Amino acid sequence: MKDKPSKYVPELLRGSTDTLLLFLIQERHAYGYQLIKEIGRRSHGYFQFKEGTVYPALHRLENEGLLEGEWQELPNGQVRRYYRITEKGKYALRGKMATWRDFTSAVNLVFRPVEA
Amino acid sequence: MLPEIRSYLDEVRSHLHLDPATEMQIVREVYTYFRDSVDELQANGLSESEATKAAIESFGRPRVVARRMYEARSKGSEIEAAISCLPHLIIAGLFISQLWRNPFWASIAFVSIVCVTLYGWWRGKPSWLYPWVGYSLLPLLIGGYAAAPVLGQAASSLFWGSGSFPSVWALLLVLALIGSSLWIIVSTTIRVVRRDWILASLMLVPLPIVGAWLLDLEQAGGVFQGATASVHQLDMSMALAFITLGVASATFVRLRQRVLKVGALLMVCTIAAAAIGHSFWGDYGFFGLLATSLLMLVFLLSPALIEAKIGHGEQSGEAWWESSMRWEEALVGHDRPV
Repeated sequence: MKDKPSKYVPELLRGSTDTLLLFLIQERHAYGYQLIKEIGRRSHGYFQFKEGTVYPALHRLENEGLLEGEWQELPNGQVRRYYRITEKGKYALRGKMATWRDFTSAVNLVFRPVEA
Repeated sequence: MLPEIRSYLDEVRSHLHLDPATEMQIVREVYTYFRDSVDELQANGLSESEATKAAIESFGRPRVVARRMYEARSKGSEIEAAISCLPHLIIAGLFISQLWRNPFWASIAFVSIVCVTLYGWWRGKPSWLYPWVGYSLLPLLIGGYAAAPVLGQAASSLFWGSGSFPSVWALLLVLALIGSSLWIIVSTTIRVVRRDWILASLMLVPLPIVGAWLLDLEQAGGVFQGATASVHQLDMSMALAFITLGVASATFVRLRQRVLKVGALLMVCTIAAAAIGHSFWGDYGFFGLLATSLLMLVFLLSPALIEAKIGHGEQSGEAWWESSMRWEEALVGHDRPV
């Protein structure tokens, strides 16, 4: 029997929102709507971030000095607020990713069947 | 802009309670989201009204969004907390060292406080500013107190025929001083309330404490009497009260959630007022303590009533949107410091 696609538990994601946002912004400057779409695309629709969660998270990260926001004008005349990661943000991201790797490794070790 | 989006953004703004520059950034950013989202939904075949409705629903309830944005932006750094605590400690220091009696040092302290206040006001009114504004208003209160005897003399002469009537020029000067002091205090309070009533409470909290202290000193023979043991005792009580207010200010700046900020401010300041009342008037019983606490609580909550009356924001909705649209050009390439 084929497994049903699992649904993630929001509580699991809550602690990882910052890491995902910082990671994507480290790759390239991005604005809020673009980040929501990018996370959905990369996770094949698994993560569906609520806009009302992402924008406050971006502002919190900016307030903590991990991101910097800047308004930029596009060739079509529209303006958007792009975020870029700061040095402090890069340092925090390295720590968060290390923690995440250790956590998933430990979970995988526990999930491994016990050899008889 | 579609009326549904405008109405949504207005409601978000009315619950943000942040400084005007940050509020404008947030509203503009949410607006750009709606623009992108509605464009994409329309490209996928929805009508404009369907796309707008879907985009608004997807963003969430405006009050919840505003609360989350407030929590994201309202927590100050440790440095900001220390700066907000500093004016309380300066005044506490004046009382501990009894330098408030020395016109030179008292003037230096107040001039420094006013200079920092003007700088903070000019720099976009950060949240550490408001205790400084409160102490900048103190000289007006003290000036009014010092000028009050002239009014008393005039009233006594006019109504009871006792004593000589002060000169008309002195009376006019005193009336102008008291009137302008009241005008500055009230207009400053209203401006701060338009941003956030809690900040107005934080700003005004030293005034009743200093007012009670002046009244108590008056009963003991006046501010400029000699330094007696009871006055020394009062100085220490005042210093402790200001240190407590300093702790309340620093905690206020560091807290993220609004409800905790309100709780911390009301609780600490009410306790400080009760303690000061106990120190001034001795053991005045449970009901005296209760009355002092309630009076302080009502005083601290009164800016909330003013806000309910006058609303939020320094500009009306229409004027705000006009300036916001003009600001879009200025936003590009030069983000305002927050």
